[in-house]
Amino acid sequence: MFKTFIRTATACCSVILIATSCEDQVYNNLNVDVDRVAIDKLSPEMQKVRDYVPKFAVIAHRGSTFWTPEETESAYRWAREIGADYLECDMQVTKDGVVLALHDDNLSRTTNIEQVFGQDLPRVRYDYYLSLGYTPAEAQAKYDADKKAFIPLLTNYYTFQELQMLDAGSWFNTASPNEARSSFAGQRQYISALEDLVMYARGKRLKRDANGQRIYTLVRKTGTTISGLSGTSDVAEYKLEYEDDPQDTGHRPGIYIEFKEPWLNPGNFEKIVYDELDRLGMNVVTKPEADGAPFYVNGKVNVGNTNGKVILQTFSLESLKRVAEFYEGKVPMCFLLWYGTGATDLKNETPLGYASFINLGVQYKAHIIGPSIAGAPNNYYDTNKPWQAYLIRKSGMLNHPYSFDTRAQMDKYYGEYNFGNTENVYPAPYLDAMFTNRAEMTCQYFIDRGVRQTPAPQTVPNSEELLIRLGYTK
Amino acid sequence: MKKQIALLATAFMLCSTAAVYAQAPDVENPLLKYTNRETGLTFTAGARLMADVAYYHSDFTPMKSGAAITDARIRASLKYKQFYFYGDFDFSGGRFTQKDLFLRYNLRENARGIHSLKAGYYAEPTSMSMQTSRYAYHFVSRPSPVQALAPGRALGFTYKFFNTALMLEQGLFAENRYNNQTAGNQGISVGGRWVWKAINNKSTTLHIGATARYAQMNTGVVTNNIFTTHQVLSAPMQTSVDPVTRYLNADLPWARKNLNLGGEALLRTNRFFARGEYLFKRVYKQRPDQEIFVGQLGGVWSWTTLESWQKGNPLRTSNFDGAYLELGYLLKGAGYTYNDEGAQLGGMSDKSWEVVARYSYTNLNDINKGDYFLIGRNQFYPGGTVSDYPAVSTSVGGGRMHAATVGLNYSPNAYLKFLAEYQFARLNNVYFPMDKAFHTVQMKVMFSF
Repeated sequence: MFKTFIRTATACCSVILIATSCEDQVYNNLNVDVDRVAIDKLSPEMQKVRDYVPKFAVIAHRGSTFWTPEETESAYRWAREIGADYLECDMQVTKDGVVLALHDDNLSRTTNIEQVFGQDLPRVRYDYYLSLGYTPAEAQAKYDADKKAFIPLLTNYYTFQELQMLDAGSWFNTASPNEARSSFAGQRQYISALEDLVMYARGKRLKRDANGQRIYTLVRKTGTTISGLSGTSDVAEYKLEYEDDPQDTGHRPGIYIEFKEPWLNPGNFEKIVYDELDRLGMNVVTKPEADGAPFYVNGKVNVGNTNGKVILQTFSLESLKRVAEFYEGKVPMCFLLWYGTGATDLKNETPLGYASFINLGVQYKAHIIGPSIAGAPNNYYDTNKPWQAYLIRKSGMLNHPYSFDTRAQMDKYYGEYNFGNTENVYPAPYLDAMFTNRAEMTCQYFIDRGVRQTPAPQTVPNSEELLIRLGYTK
Repeated sequence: MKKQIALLATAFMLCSTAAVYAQAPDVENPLLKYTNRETGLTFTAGARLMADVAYYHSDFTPMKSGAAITDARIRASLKYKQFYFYGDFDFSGGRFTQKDLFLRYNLRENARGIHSLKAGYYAEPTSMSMQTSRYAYHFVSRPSPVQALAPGRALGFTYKFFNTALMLEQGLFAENRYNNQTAGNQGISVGGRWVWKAINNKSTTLHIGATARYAQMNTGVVTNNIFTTHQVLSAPMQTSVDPVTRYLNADLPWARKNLNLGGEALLRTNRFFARGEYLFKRVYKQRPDQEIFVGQLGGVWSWTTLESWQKGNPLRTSNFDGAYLELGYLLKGAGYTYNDEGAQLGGMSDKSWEVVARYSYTNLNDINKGDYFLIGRNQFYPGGTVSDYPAVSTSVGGGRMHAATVGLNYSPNAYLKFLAEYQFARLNNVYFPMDKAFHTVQMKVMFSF
């Protein structure tokens, strides 16, 4: 009996050990797991909206951070004329309710605010209240209240009028001496409103007075209020003036606008932007363009006249939800990814974790995933590896990685290097568009690869010559 | 009168037998034993080896099948009059691990029972399963709920009274056996196990019992001048070859106090045993809110009041539980035994065959109703939906597992045992959403002398 048992036990152990050594997989294999995780797919209705967006779109990141002061008139005019499909911006709101195209919540990097206002509440605030119709006593009371709650340098604590007193161009000449131009300082660059961005995309430029100052008027307080970081304030109406840009060559790009983290902006910021787009004739939910309008006409960008003329984007989980609520998936929406430990970051970069973010995007009616890419000069964490691009594609979403600065990055994510992926497990390219600081390079890159075909523009202006043509001299 | 004397004598003999068990938990008669008849001193030395082989199949996250030495111990004991010393050390995994190391003194031994004091490093008396030597176990591994929720060995002392009707053991233990904590004081726990043997004779035992333990944890670290404590409750998947604890793992920052409560029952006949436990654990947390709040002041995004900070960073106690039921039927061999001192089931006897079965559940999930979990961020969200900030949930997703095991065991003699079993486990862990079913085939050989 004992011998029988020993024999049986030995046989069983042997079988187990042999089975163990023959196992296909004793660790989580990325290439296997990628096909095992559940990926939700865009519905046909969502696919239709997705297709509002041209393939291999060139998204001019903040206009350009390389050639010009970002998110200013010079940046957006340059991007429009270079032939970008989209002018990209971040959105914030002023204390008095004007939606801005501005990235930094702290104004010290890209403006001269410390020279103009220092760390103090601007004295002009009192006059601002008078011009809104308050009595001197009321204006003083409001001024005092603002002063008490004031946090210097943060965008939301300043009125649009105050922000227009700042120089948003000169800093660039110090920060990027190789690309410095006297015109960026001499020809005043302003913090842009969202309305400015729309007008630049429509071939306009700022209307300026004889001194080169932009012309605008504080019209009135609208009677509504806005609640943000700086408390509850009157919403002011401004009349911003523009004129036809004599250097406009007929490109009509769309705009690609980002909702920042909700805690920086009022709780109903998505609705504020919805209404602002409505006012500016850019809300395709309320005023759709004709179906099938072409992205390009006669060698000119025409995205701005299609239903894809506005793309929304956000890193924020909360904003993602609110956009779904207000825009109902009817406006192309990009869910941006960032790997890290912040409140909205992807933390678990396994296929399971990555898929959960894609699925979250699908759930909340996003059409595009915007992953970060590696490489100098930003050296972001790479959330657009081939398997990740594969998962995005599997969901039916578009892949709009950010942000490209070099040819090497473009080659890498277009699949020229292909990561040693010689068996094409994950077919290249690993992108459907590029957020780019070098729109001229990206346009040419796509042209060279034949993915930006006629009637899209087939030539790209020389960037330096274009800047000179636009009036930005060295 | 003669009958009463006989009963007393029988009771005394049973107690004495039990004492022998306790002196050598693994084997009744160690091979290396020296007794000096003049001094009454008895010395034993022995060793124990366990080797396992296992094959696992999981849905998504692989476990490492293979073979492993899961236990390799040497031990020594010394008995002199009322004193008993025991030392036990493990070298499995190529690492030295201190196991039991204690001194016991029998205060009084008479027909009514034995009173003893015990001091040293050994298992806190709060779980029947944890009190039972692995060599006397009828399964390849202890049940997961016990491994997750019951305390293990600690430095302390206990007072015990036992006879054929009762086993009462209670004691006081230190949190940290070497007092080498980075910061804080050495915590303390008080607890006990109390068993009433409703039926207890040679052929049958029925006992029911209760356990309770309260622990104050004071061992922690100081980070940014903030004293932080931390507790991890975890268990492997009732296996030793791949002892990963990731599937059942609750991470509990700010844990400061534990309350363990439990109940147990055991039925033994010559041919059959059934035993089970229910274990409940509550983890109380304590956080220096005021210090942390003050530390975060001074930034643009700082919380401005303590109340708002506390609202944005909620903290609550966490509750976990688990249970198991083990059944055995002796196909062949001498009947099952019962250890009066430990109120434990004995191991297999010579030339015996048995079939066993076990059901267990381990619940390390304490998830708020309606919470949403996003695995891309490894985070729970209150209110059933994602948000940015603040989005702090008090949920704990340590995993819940139901496991069913059937096994066949054979013991050719007291020094050698073979165990073989199949186990199916069903997991519900938000961190492993694609891992639901686990199949395990495993065998163990145990040798002790």
